[in-house]
Amino acid sequence: MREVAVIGVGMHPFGKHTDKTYREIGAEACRNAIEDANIDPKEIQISYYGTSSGLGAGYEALREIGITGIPITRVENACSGGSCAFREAYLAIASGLYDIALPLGIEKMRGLTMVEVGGGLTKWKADMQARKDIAGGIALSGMVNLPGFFALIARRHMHEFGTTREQIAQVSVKNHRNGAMNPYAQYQKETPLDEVLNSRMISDPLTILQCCPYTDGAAATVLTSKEIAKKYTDTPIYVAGSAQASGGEEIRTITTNEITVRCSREAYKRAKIEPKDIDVAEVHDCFSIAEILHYEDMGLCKKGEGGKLVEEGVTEIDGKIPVNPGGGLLSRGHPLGATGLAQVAEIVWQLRGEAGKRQVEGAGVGLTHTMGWPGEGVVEVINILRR
Amino acid sequence: MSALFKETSDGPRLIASKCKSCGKVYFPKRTRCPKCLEKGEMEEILLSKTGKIYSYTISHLESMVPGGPAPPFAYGIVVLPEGVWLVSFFEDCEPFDKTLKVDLDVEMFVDGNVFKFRPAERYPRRLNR
Repeated sequence: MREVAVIGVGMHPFGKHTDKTYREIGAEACRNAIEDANIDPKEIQISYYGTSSGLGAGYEALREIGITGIPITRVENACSGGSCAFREAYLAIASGLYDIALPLGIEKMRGLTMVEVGGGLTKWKADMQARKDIAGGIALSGMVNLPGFFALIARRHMHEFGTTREQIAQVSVKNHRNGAMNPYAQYQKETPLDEVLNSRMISDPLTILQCCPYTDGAAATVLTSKEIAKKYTDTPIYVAGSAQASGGEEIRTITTNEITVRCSREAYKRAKIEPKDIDVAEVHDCFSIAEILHYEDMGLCKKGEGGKLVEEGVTEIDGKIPVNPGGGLLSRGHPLGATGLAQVAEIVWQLRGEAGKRQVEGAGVGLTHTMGWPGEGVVEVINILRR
Repeated sequence: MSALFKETSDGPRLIASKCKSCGKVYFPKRTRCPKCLEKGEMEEILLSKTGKIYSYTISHLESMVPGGPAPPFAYGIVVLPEGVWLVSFFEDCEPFDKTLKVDLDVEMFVDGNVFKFRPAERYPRRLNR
């Protein structure tokens, strides 16, 4: 296996872009990544694109910038689609089969429901047709929407560990503050604790400012081998380790996500690091409570102490373990298939020292993490990057 | 009649499958135990009517179930003695902040073709109910 380097990253700003097509936002992200990598588009040999809603969107975006004829594969893994596209491209380069890869992610969600974005309505209708006998009753299992499920986690975490509403809401305060310093973020506004707690209640105890928004956006990266990277850049960022895991086993608790535990340990082992070696992390804060769970499950603190960690400022940009300096999903926004690549872009900027006002001083090792939910399963991806 | 529950002298009971090999209980019922695969022959059992709240929330969003309750409404996870986790609406639990708590004893009832749970202490069990 070869060592792999990221030599270019690019984004289309996240937000509401109902006046633009998938092709347009995807092409802009690719163009920015290619320009950042200082390569000719014709040098791209393979591409994977993460998306849930964008059938064929990767082909359109790549053709727009003159990339045709190469293997292009759509990766659908719910909120982890972008991370998986990045990981597949990493494996393609590491194996030696390809030399230059461009993984990208494109999603448009504004004006759609979550079920429409995920294409779930088709499966839902077909399954209900097949199981008419239990359709009415089992519709109940569809009753839990995502804010609801994370509200259940929050309530149970409060019960088991004494975590407070204020501690949970503090994740949103921090990430909105960071996002206000990220020109690519959907929200450009700080939200004090009172505002977060008193915003519209969605699913108690989670208010609307503790739920990530619906977002249109795209992000792309360029990967090559360590040897080839030297031709293009003086600041390659290496992929030190990558891990992917899924769930499906019986759930025994909702306050520990065993998949995050497993996936992070595998990633640390592959990268030959420990949690204390991480200088900066971009994690899947789809809801405020999720980030607290990730702190604990990734070993950044002990189980039950996640609320205290954010309350004490440990995960702020100037704290000991900065988490989501780019604003996270809560503030940057969460276009499902693009999020994993936006996280890689943020970590690359951080490790190069190009993150501007939100720069984490002297960051040398960074981590990205997404948690996707394709139906009954859960898919987690962790990528570890280093200078 | 829904395939999810059965009328008994004790009122409607949820139908589950128990693996004859490992003893694990599944709801709704299934034909094979996914852990024991071909060895995992199933027998049909009826689940307990009472369980404990594992966690709950009050939703201020519309229900995803057609004809579901108007917001705000309560729902959450119930754990039954058989080890089965159920997601269910909670009814008769106002005021929410005073009534609902983790580990509260709740009792199953059927409303139309949907099973729901309500605080057990508000419905003392009677014979032949």
